Amino acid sequence: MKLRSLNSVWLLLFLVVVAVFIGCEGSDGPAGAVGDEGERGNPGSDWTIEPPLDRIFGLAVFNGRTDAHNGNATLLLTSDTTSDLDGHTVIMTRVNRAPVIDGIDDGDDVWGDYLANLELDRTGLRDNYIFSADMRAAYDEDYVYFMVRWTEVANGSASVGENDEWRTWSYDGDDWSRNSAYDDRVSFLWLIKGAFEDVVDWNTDGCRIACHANQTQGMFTLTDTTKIDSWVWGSVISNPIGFAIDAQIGVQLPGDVTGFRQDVGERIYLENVYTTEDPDTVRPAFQHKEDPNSNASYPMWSWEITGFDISDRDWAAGASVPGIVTNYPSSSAADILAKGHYDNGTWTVELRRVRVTDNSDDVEF
Amino acid sequence: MSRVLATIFSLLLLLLTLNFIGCEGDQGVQGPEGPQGPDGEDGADASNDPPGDMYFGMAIGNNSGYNHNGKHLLRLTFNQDETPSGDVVVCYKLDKPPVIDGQDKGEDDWGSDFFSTGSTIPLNTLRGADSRIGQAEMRAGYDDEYVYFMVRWQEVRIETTLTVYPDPINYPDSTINVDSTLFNNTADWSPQRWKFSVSDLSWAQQAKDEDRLLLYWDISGVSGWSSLGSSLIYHGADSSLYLDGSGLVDVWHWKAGKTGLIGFFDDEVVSSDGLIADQGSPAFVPNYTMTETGPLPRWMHRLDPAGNDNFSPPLYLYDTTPFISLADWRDNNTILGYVAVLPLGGRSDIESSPSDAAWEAGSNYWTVEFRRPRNTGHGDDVRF
Repeated sequence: MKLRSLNSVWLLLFLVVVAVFIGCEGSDGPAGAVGDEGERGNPGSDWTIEPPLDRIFGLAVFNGRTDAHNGNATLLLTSDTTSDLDGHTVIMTRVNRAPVIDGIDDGDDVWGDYLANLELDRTGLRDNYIFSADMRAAYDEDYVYFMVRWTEVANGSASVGENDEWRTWSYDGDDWSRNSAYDDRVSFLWLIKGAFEDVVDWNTDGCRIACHANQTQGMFTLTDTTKIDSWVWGSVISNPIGFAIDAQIGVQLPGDVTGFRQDVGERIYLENVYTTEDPDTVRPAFQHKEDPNSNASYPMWSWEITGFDISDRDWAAGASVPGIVTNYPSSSAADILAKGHYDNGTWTVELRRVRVTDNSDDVEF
Repeated sequence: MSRVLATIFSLLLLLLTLNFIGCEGDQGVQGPEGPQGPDGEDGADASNDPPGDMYFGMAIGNNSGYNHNGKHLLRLTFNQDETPSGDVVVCYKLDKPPVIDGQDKGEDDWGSDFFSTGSTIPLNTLRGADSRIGQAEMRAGYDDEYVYFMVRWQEVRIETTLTVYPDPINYPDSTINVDSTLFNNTADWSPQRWKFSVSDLSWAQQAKDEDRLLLYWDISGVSGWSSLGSSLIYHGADSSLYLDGSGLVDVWHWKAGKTGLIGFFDDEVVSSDGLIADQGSPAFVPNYTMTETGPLPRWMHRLDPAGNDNFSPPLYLYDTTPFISLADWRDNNTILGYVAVLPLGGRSDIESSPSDAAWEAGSNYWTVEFRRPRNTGHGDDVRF
């Protein structure tokens, strides 16, 4: 009896084990339900004409002397039309019709009604007593446009008038020498790299850190990380050709007294000086090929010149030769279209440049 | 016996429990991913779309700056579905820019998915005498950067009866008779050429003009332009052009000699104050200087100092040398009236096929192809 019971128990245990094995092979569950629909995608970005970034820039105007210029080193250029025209701020507006770059103000209808009246002060070694300038700025998808207008002031050596010569050569019967004539000018200084916040003290000192910081001559930046785009319009050096000088200011390189270097390309003028080590033989490098013995007249174009003839020509006392040769610019040196117009003591200068030149020596807008 | 039954019952209970546990099969596979959500709203495309319809005028001169045949009002449309006609020029979106070479290569140059044909435009006499140039063919295209055009016309030589007409440009003091040499069927690209006469040992500029093509575009919303077009532009008593009304009109002025030979149009603007050139430097310099004995050429070709200057135009400035009046000049020697330089600034905006490539001698056709940036950034230019 006991044996039968044990057999039954073992049989049952065997059946239990078999049943457990059979029971563990359960079927896979049904597939899950289809997931929920994804969320709506983000809206695409509209194409817009982004206004240029706000910038701190420097500006200076000259009246016939290089060492006397008044300006403002920390002007703000902004597209925020709610900004105050406080004498240090220039508001850019977007235009659908470009201004004519002819030195004549096209007015609010073209530029928009944000005419800034900027406060100027002495920024050079001497004062030229020009304490204010009007300025307009505008942009479209391709270009930026500027207008600057100032009125000359007679004071000391500064006189009111359109300066139309630049370091002219004259012959006194024995020697050639140059006078000190200089043109009327306006210059802009823009930080090339990044935003102005990237450069220590730029937002408070502006271009002073580049052009006249601890420097008695020349213009250069103190650190290799700072590069400044410099635009210079001059009544003699650039106005006849209708462009402005495009240059950059960097550190002083060995052997140079300046860090001011004009952009790549044919320059808009050549200084007409043949330099030798002997100061007594310094003379013009070029003369007018058709009328060399006349009184100098500007512009003397690069296609009108021939090499200066000091040996054979019977120069007349009183003969004069322009101090510069006006040239056709090219490449990055031809980026800035500029034209000035003088009217009764007031200069109006207008400039145009593409917002992005793709030249590394230019500021981007 | 009861113990056995209890054991069996317990084992059965265990078996059932195990079966319950063992019957929990694997979880089924994950269901499929739900469908993609709907797209977000589109952003606005870059706004380099062409403008709406534009109205312009066209004039053609045969050896004349005054006598023009043309059409005062034409419509340039960027609607690709419109059909070109004598009044409508369709500006097609081009897949590739045409070669600006003065050769109409048809669909090879101007083809696109929408390409059909150019426009054949009937021309009338707009001013002065009828040059008998009765029609012009015109094509237009654009891409993101430029607009492109081609204008093709045949010159006609007039050998019929003389006609009297005024020409305040070339003959300001009188009316003159048309002679058969004015309207010719040759390429006129040597305006005001100097000619030496051995009889009186003098140089004089010939009263020859050049072939011309002009297009007029409204820059600033000139009142009435869309209905009257370039008929609002008139010739003043001082021989200049004026606009009847306020505003600015862009003038694209192809001059076969002064600008065309080196591959440009002149770029001008006309207002109620008159016609002026755009800002910049021109493509030509007058070869003229006033001396104590009267006007003379300023330069001559540097490779021909002895004087037999028969070089064909253009005469580039870099090929010149100052004129020598006492050289061995012969009767009927000539020197070009203008010297070529590269234009700059606003006067270099419109590039064209060089004139010598655009002229088909024999059939006497001009095929002038040209392009201009859609936005030059100059306020004295129309914008596309």
